[in-house]
Amino acid sequence: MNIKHITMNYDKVLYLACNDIREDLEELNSFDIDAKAIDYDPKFKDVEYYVNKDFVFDDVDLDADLTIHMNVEKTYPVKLSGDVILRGDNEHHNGDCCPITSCEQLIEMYNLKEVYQQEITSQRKTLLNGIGHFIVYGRAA
Amino acid sequence: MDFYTLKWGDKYGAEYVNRLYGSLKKHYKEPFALTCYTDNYNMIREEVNIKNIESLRKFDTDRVFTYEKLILMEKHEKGVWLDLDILIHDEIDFIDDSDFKMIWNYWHPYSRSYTWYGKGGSCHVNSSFCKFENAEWLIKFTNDNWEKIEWTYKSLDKYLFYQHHRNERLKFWDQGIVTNYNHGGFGLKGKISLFNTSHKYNNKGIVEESYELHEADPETVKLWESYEH
Repeated sequence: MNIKHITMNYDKVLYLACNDIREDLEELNSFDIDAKAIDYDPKFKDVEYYVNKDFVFDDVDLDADLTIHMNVEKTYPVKLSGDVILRGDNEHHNGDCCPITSCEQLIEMYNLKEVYQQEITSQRKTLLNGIGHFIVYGRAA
Repeated sequence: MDFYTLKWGDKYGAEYVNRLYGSLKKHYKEPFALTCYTDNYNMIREEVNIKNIESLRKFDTDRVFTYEKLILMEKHEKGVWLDLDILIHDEIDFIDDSDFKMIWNYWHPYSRSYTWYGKGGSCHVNSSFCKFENAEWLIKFTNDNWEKIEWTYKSLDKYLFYQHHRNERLKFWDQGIVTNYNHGGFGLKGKISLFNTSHKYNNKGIVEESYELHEADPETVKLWESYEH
């Protein structure tokens, strides 16, 4: 799944828990796509296109045509609307509160009404070791 | 002053409670009471007030480690909560009128959080010695957001760090008052020393030499034992 290509089809894109994607945000905005990221890491304070808040606990605007959540395993499942891309893994990092073990889990957690694409990949380790990254592209509401 | 501590399970014996009381008697010069919320009051000295720890477990979860401390603030207007695995070894004369004051982990460089913030490996606060006084803001936030807190945080300290330090709501004891035995050359410095090792078991990938209070060097253990009576 090529997330960047998918974002090109939308006018307003929101990234959640995405860490450092400054280059992608600059590029998307250069194409007049309203793209921003919400990440509470202090290193993103005053960084362009970033909202330096916690989208679970703070009062933030989650309205977007496409929302891309890059670390579902680390956050409480907030209510999303519109199209979404959800990515989670079962690497069991210390901050993970809900390891993701299947695409079906993502679909249920965010109550997706329609699934356009889904994919399982691995990173660093092989799927044979049971470590997987799960991605679902669909419609939340 | 009212001091409170928690004891459950079999990790720490009654001697931890009894010696904590003895250390307060020696180093706190004002009138005080120590209350222990516990599931087992056997062998705890009679000067210590006993209460059932279940009365602090209003959320019925074992997910947020030591969240019971927060419930103390609903039951008591003012006080200090203490962990059992601390050693008080000098005069406690620094408690002020703050509504909420806890420990900043000065021994962990805060710059580390810029690499690990939000990934769970970074936590710079410690609730082992914490003063509270009408901290309504914390009680309200906790009650209003409990479902999210329970989902997100494995420990009270991480909840306090990521939600309340991030929003500049916390105050901390001055540097040097509370130190960490395991991160300070295995010696007693300041007025209170921490001996906590639970982070090694609650997080993966932490390999370090560290000791519980009863495993410390002979001189430290001897001092701790001297608070028995």
